[in-house]
Amino acid sequence: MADAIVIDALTGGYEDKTLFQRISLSFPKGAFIALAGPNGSGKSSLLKFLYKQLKPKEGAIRVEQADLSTLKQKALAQRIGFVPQDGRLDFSFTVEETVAMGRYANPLPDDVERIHTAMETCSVLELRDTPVTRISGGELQRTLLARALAQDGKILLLDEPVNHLDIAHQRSVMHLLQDLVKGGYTVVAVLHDLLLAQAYSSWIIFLKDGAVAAYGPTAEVVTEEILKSVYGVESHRIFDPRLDKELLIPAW
Amino acid sequence: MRRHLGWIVLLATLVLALASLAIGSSRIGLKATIGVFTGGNTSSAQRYIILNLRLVRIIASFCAGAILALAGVSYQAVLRNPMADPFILGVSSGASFGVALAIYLGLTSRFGLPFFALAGATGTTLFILALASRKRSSNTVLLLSGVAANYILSAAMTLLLFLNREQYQRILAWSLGTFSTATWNQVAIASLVAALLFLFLFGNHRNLDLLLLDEGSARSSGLEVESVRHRLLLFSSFATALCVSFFGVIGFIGLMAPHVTRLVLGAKHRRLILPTALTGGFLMLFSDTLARILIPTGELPVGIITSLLGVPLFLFLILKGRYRFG
Repeated sequence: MADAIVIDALTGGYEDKTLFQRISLSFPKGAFIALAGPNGSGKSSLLKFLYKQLKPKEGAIRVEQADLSTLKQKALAQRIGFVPQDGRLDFSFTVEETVAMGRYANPLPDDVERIHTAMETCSVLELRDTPVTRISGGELQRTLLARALAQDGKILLLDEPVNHLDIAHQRSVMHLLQDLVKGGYTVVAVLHDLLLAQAYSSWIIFLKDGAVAAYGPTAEVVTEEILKSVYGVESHRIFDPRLDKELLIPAW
Repeated sequence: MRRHLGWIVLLATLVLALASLAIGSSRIGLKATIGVFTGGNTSSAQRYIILNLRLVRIIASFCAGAILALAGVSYQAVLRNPMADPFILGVSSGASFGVALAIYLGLTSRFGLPFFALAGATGTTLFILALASRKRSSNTVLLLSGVAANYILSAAMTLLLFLNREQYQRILAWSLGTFSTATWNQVAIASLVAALLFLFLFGNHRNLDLLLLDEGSARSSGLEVESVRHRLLLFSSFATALCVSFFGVIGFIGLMAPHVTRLVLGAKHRRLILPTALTGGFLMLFSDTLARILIPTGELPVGIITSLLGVPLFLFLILKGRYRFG
């Protein structure tokens, strides 16, 4: 399987703190990749490198074979869409206006058909004239996802996409992401909930203290030993008959 | 209402401008006022008052209102802060300090107050922008730098006032803003700046929209955040500095006009920019007309009127219903 993103010996972080020391990773194309690890392990910061909010001190990042350091922000936007952890807006754009902002880097920024398709995919078309300040958390998350889809890239980065959502909305957002993966998207999602990661992701990356603790196919990587070494917690297995597989849950 | 707001404000401005031409300390009346422009039977004194005294300040006040309103839209987007106004980064206190220093040093006869106001405002702007251009300086750093600049320059101006108490009234009158000293040269420059600022912001309407998102979303949507922010701050700050140097510090229009138009039109800048400029111009003209006519023997500083009118209207708007900045 070709790789959507390759990180090669990345060193970098913030002005006052180097977070990553020569880490290397590859993100398989068309996979649902969960990015997990304790708070402060560098998950959100890693995403910031991928959309160029942070620049590597050393090392290289390639997105769909293109060197990220030479890609203009607009060219990158046509490859990668991003959904933030807290995308709440204080200024009341309508849902359609918010989704249309995803077309900024595109040669046809006002392509209504493309905008409506993204909204339809995320089930927010009926909310098109509603201000985003008046929709629920789940609807906002879908709107932000539609905005990322409207960019026309095939890679989606999501920073804790189901944080603060009730289980029904969590389920619907995760199903939507799963459908997008089936449609050819590569999804990279920061997930704290390891049950969700095990239920939906095909690959998982564990970060700890700015280093890669483990990565590979989710079913192989998520083990009692890894959870103990990454989080310092014991865990045990339960069988989920609906998924027809064993899931690891923390020992509360 | 949404579609026609621009036309409604433009029409209201024209009616207000005509009324403002007709009223004042010299009673001229509507018929004679129209006569000045249509070649009717009017005296030379009436023509002089209308064309050389009232028309110049009507256009000046409209242009100043438009500039401050446009700068307000720009600042609110760049700083991602609905409370931002054109003076938040210290432009007004820089200008006031420049004027106070020039009066204290006795330099005003050579260049005039606007020169020193522009120098003070520009110096402050460049200082704040130099801070903003530092790597990874956040909006919070920028805002706090502006607050610090405002405090220190206000303190310095107060010290100069204290040392030079006989000039207190002159400095105070300037700092509260007036269009009574507006000249046609100033009007020409202010209208050119208003037009250029409008065109510049309209050309950046998509950038302004994206700046209201979180930085990650703006960047990942393709926006070169730093360079766009700096361009917008630079242009808006210099336009504000020029306006302040000509007409003094006139508060609230730059904060209020964007909110008033957003309430009707929503947050999208393509729809917002022109009606905001017109609304700012209208509000300033209305305030200046009141400033001229409220006291029979003189006039009030226009800055007092904008605050007295603006604060209750503004509070009404933000407390009404579910208005959340748009």
